[in-house]
Amino acid sequence: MMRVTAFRARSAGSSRRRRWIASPRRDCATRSSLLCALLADAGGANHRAQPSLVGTASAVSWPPASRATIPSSVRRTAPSARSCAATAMTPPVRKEPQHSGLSRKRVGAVRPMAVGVGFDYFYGFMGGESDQCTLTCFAIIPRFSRGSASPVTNLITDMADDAIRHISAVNASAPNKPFFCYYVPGATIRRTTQPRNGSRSSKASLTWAMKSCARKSSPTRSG
Amino acid sequence: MYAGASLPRWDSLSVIQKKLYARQAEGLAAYAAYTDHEIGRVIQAVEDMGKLDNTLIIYMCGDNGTSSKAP
Repeated sequence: MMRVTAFRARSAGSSRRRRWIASPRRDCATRSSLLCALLADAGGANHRAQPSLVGTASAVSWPPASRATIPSSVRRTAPSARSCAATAMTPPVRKEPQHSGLSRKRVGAVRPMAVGVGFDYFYGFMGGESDQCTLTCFAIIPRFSRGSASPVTNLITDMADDAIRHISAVNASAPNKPFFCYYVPGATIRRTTQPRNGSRSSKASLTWAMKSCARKSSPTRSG
Repeated sequence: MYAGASLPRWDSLSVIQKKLYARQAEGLAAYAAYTDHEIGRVIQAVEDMGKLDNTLIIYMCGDNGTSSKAP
């Protein structure tokens, strides 16, 4: 069991607020619960009063002021984070005219992330608060949208490159200052809202895969 | 058992089903290995900066563990 105060000890003497987040999805209850535990016990905004993933991400102050343990914080924040994840997955879609991932917005259950109080840098998908059918990858500003990325773009590699580049820059600017990096490489999962022909498309794909396996395993084609 | 649904035993699957699910497992394993490699690059970058001994790395493996909507 690791106390949050251990993190405070690590960053003692620093009031710096440098954070970075990279995630293909942010509507993950487990990750957000732990993020709640790590960040929201910091004594900043009361995330428990506003069960919001974005609010959680923006309710950051460093170093932590609470003596709560990480497991106890997770237990305390998991219900709100879970409910937020459940409701945040299917928000009404709204296009942001200013095209800014960190701009003030309110879409569905997701609370606005005020400019200047959230993560200093963000790279990844804004899961749950963007159109799930046409995801946009943000790096402060939209980096690429579905269909506009290069055919050879690999999100996991690109994310690692971006993380290394950002960590190096932050460390070079002030080597003695601690910072928090939330690096979450991972696969995107299926969308929870289907387009109109989504079920037919999924069924067709599965049928094609099954038939493909059947052809390959057929003894008449083995030779 | 997941979300009240019982999964069929592997032995009860047909040859075609086994082939499909084995292929899916291969894809997942490849993805996991690839991601592990990229995470290693980031950690190596921290080590190259000489900050690894002063860095806390919390590795969380899993996804949507408490969400009933997205497996």
